[in-house]
Amino acid sequence: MSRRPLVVGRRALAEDAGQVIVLFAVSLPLFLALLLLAIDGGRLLVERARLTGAAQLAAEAAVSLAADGRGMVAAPAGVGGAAAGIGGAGAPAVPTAAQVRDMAKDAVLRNLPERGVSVSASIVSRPGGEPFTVRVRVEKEFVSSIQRIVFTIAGEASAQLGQSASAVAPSPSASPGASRTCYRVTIGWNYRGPGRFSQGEPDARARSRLGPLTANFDGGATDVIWAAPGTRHTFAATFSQFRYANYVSGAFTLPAGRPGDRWDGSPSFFSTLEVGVWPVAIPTQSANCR
Amino acid sequence: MVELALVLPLFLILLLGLAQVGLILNTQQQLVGVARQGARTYALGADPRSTVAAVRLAGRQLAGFDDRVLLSTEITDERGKAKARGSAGLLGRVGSTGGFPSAAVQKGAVRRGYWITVTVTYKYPNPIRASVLGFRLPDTITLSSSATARIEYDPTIPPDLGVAP
Repeated sequence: MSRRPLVVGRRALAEDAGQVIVLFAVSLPLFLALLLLAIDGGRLLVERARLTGAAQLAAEAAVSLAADGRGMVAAPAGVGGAAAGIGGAGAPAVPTAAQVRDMAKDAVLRNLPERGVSVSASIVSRPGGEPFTVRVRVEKEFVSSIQRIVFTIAGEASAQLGQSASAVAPSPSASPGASRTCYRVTIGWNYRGPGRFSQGEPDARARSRLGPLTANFDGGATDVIWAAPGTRHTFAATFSQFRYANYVSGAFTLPAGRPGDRWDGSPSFFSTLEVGVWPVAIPTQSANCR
Repeated sequence: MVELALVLPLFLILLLGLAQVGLILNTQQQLVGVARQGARTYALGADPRSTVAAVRLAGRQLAGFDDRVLLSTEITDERGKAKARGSAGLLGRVGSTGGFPSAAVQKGAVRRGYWITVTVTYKYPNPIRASVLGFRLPDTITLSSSATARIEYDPTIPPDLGVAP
């Protein structure tokens, strides 16, 4: 009578141990699968950020190459060599479309030196050659942690070169050769991006200064500058309204349009927080340049 | 109850590991943005001060960023030949131009068309202080990211260009 409970206890323990082993056998793969899924999800996000960042830097590099030569010759892909410069005597040779694409590819490979990266750069330009947009798409094979799942991920970005001073499209306010003109430049910003942009809201506390090659904006702002069309300017914006301080920088080329013409630059995104800024340059009458 | 007592610790360890991996990957993703921001800012103005300010702002949400981040930079020409290097240093200790070539060095090294590579190395503070089977988890985990941008700054352009009359 006194031994029976002991026997029952042993049986129960054995049954419990068996159940625990079964439970382990069932749940452990599930836990590990969950862990791998989380790791791969995080890796995927990091890789995508790298691809998008490399594409953005490549697009900017490609545009800056064209800005060197004040434009781009609309040549079919694969045709290399410098063409007749439209930037005037002494200006650097105007790059061809193939050279712009090569620059984009070079920039991507400098940022993503690993294997399995493919780059495609498309150039959208007007018949006059400018303004044009370089859109870079970077693709890479993503291999999951268990090496079984392989798929292609992509990042895309674009940059735009504004209409530069050229013999192709002179205008009264912006003749070729560098006469300066007056521009009203607005840095519009948008928190959500990449949806439609709102214009920068004037901020009473904002200080803005637009210098020759660097510009600083605290908050959204509009400023007037006196510069030659075709010159490339940069801006930096700091947003302190959000939970974290956001810092965005970008560049734009002043257009050679007539007074009142509106030119929208390509947006720059701060990818982590989806903050985007968009420069808009409008040539104005010199009388307003105060 | 026995099953729960056996499985719960394992489950909690995995859950903690999961959260930790998520935090590390999130930090890594932010470092990608920080490096890109640094490279881009330097490429536009070749100004170490504004670049360091941009890096600081971009990485401000990371814990103890100034004291845990090392910045190193390299300027190369079109063919990849090194022209100048910035010594790596803790951002918080080397002042406003830390990690970037000094003005004297960069004067001849910066040219439009050259490339700037910014490498950000961050010592991620591991919040879990524990030993597992005699193996002590590291206090910090080193994360790194770098970005390369084409320098657009042109030192030949006179500094007064663009100033409104």
